[in-house]
Amino acid sequence: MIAAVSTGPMLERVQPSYARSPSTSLFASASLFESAPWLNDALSQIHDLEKGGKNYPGIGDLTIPPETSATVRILLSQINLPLLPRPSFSSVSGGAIVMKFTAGERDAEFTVFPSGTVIVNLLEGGNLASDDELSPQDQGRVQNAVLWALGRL
Amino acid sequence: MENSHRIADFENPPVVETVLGVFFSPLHGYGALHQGVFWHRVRTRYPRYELMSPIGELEVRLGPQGLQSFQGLQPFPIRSLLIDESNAQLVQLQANGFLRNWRKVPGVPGYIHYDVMRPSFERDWIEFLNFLGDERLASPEVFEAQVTYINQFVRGFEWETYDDFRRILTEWIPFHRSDIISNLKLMSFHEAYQLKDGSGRLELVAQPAIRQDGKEILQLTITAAGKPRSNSTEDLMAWLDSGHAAVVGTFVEATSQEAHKIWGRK
Repeated sequence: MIAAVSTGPMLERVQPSYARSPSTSLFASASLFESAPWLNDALSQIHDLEKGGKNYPGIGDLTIPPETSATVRILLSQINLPLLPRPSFSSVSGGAIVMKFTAGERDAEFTVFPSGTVIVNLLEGGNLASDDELSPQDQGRVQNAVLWALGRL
Repeated sequence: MENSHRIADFENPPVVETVLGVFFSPLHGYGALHQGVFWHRVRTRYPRYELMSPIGELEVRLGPQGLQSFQGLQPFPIRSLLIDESNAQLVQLQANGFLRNWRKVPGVPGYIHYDVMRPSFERDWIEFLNFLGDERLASPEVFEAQVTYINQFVRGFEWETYDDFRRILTEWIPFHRSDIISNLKLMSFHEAYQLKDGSGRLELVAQPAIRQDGKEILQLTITAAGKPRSNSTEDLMAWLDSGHAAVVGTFVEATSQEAHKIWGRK
């Protein structure tokens, strides 16, 4: 959803008449999609990578297994920030995806492998500031890496 | 097996959870521990439990002695989930509500049709009423019954881009075209309609989400809700029957024949 930039008076939030959910299924915050335009673009990029991946004999296998893209989406669901620069995605031989958030001199680069392993590299001016392995479910560390790139940590 | 309630039947339906529920005025004298006493009665059917915050408005006040009352009822309102061995069927219980769910669980085959779920709900509801009687608690003053079907359309299966929803959903859902806009990038909506027979309302909510298994989905929730004619179980079940017909009928009307083929309509 396009962020409201009106400087007019705040409107009272109208509550829908159906305000309770009897569902016991759990999934990432659906409301994030509406407030975070970067997320929708990111998901489309991942989908395109998965659909377009090819095996180039002699160069490398750039097909993306569904396990890799699922892990990347779980990573994205841990980033609860509405306004972000669009991340970029690229495939790496062996079925991995590199996801990079760039803000000025800083990059947070996540390399996601089909095994579920996630390596995060924090770069400043192209130089490695730190590297670490993390779990895609680790919301605090995933989000902190992005906040670092944004200069907010 | 009686299947008079089957309006449409699919081999591989997109439904992931169904809920039959009833909400009532908070029961006077009913406390959180009663949920445990009720669980004891049905524990052979539902051997596991989870505790969650209740559905609906939740008001917790901070006072001089810490957390204080929730609408004058209980200091800590809770919802108990009483879960069967398969993890696919459960009862949800809170001070003003009783719900019975079926949910899709990996490794547990089959979708539980309404004509199978209905008698299970009725059996558990009657058990709950008997329990209230045995505990000398008042019978529930029903204010709303609900039927909810939660469907998930998975990217890479039913759809590749949001534009594909132009062929998955019928004209029932308006899609706009103009010289100014091009591809559909995202879709979410919440619509509420009055049921023609005046028995309540029907709501559709579409929301994109990332599922726990990492799949990208559009979730379509269809709910019929309304007040049964009386507090009797007979009237409650009659309302659930009409609510179920409204939900399934709407799903069939709102989704295309092309989509029905994907799901293997019989």
